[in-house]
Amino acid sequence: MKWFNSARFVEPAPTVHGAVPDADSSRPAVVFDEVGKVFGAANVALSGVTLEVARGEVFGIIGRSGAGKSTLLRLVNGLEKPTGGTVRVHGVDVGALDARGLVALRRRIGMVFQHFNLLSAKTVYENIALPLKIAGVSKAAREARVNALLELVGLADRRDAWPERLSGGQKQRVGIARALVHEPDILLCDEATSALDPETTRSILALLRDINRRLGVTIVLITHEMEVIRDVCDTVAVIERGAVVETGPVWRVFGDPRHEATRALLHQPGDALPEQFAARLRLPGELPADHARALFDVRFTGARGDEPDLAALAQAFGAGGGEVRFVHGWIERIQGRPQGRLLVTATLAAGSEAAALAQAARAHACRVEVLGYVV
Amino acid sequence: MLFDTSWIEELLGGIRDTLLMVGVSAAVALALGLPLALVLVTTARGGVFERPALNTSLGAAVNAFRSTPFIILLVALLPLTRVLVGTTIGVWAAIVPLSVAAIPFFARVAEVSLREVDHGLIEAAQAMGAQRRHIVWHVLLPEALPGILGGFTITVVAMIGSSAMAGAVGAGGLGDLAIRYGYQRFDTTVMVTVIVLLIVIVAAVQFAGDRLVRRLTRRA
Repeated sequence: MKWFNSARFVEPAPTVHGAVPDADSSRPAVVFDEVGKVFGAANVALSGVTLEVARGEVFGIIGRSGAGKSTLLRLVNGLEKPTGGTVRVHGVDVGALDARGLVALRRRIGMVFQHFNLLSAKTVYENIALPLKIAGVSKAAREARVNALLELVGLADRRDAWPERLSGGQKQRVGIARALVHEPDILLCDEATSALDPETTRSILALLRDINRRLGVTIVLITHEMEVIRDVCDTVAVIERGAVVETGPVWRVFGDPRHEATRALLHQPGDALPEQFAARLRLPGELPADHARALFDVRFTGARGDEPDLAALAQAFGAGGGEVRFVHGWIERIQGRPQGRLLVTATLAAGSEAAALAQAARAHACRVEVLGYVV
Repeated sequence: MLFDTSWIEELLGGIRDTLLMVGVSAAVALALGLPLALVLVTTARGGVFERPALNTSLGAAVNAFRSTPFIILLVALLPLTRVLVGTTIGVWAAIVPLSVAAIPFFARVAEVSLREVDHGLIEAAQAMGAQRRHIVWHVLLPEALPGILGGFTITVVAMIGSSAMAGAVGAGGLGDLAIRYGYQRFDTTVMVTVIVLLIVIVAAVQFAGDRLVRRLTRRA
């Protein structure tokens, strides 16, 4: 919080033309209402997008490249204008703002880019100070603010370096500092970690999370990487061919993906059946069930909030006196909720049926299905 | 003949005239060509001051001047020259067509550098609340500066060549000297001296330009 106290209120916030900020903090930060965007005559980028980004949350938008997520993000700060519907930021209709209104709005929304977009002819300090300079903030105030931000992003010692001399992670830290220099309410991240290696990605994501928690900045980010959503987001929207196909808390969407596009993006480790089982699997009905081992798919979506109770599951699957084996699976925690998938086999004793065992096990898991029989 | 040194004096005058012609015209080309380049880039489709109609007509005018051979321009501009400098002979009279030829040339070269500025940088500036004039001043110009200076060097070198042609219509300078002594009187000594001098001047301009560009792009 140190940087925040020393730098905040050094200069009055820029006045907003034609856009009275919405002071009611219970209202959403961004509202997309039936938003459509058509480029040219018939190139539909977005259609019927309705979303709400709550204040103070990290909202992730995920989709394949070309799905329209970049366009969606650019509607928030008016870099693109919707051709249908409205986008409201703190109650202000972005599409209706004039040039001055847009400038004022953009000073309250920071933006971070995949390729950093730093000016090569300016030093780290000058890059971060530029938004303040063009807003007419005094030199002393600029110094105070930029130095505090350099501390925040951990680049105080690279103050006078040229961007070319920085690593990718350092460049993105400069990009983040520049985006925060006006103390925005909202931070937009356009694939902010897609050009970075996994380790740097983690450190940048940790920084974003830190900024969100400590400064209360609402973050809207777009990505094509599920890991990014899992690591930092509170809410996720899945976008496919210009439309939102699924949205909800990250744990819910990860634990219980409902749309095919979401499942395709998720492809969790351990989702595929181990090879030797796949080869030996027979679908229900293909085989007399008398001597077979049944294979069960046991899901934990996070809706229960507790960890799998193995003893209870074993008892349910072993009700007929058969052998119960844990074959494959994974459990992880998203937003503190354990979720995952367990593949369990149970030998079926005479008279016991797989469907009945599954039914019994449902008391201890979110979802249980009979996948088939192992020969 | 061997010890006739009267041409040495003429040579010094020629150097002075060439430097004056090229120097003044280069300054004019820079002062008018760079704004022209900015207009060409910013009014183009997708530019920050998008005006496609203006851009197309301006582009056509620039092309018209650029496709006219300099020797023709020299003659065609005589009325304009008379209005601007009051005479059609001498160094100052040559500066008019030299400048008129150099402005569109330099504008096109600078335009290329300006257009190559990454659009992401312009978008970043827009996202930070920059107005269009800020984008021109803080993004387009500084980012394109090394390329613009490199292009200016090319322009000056090309102008040194053109200035020799201006000599043909009585403007003086090294080119005039080479034609009078070397071409009309078969005096090889003078001609070779002039050529060597031109090479030295061009090399000096190129060296200075390259150094400046290197200094601007070395960001250590």
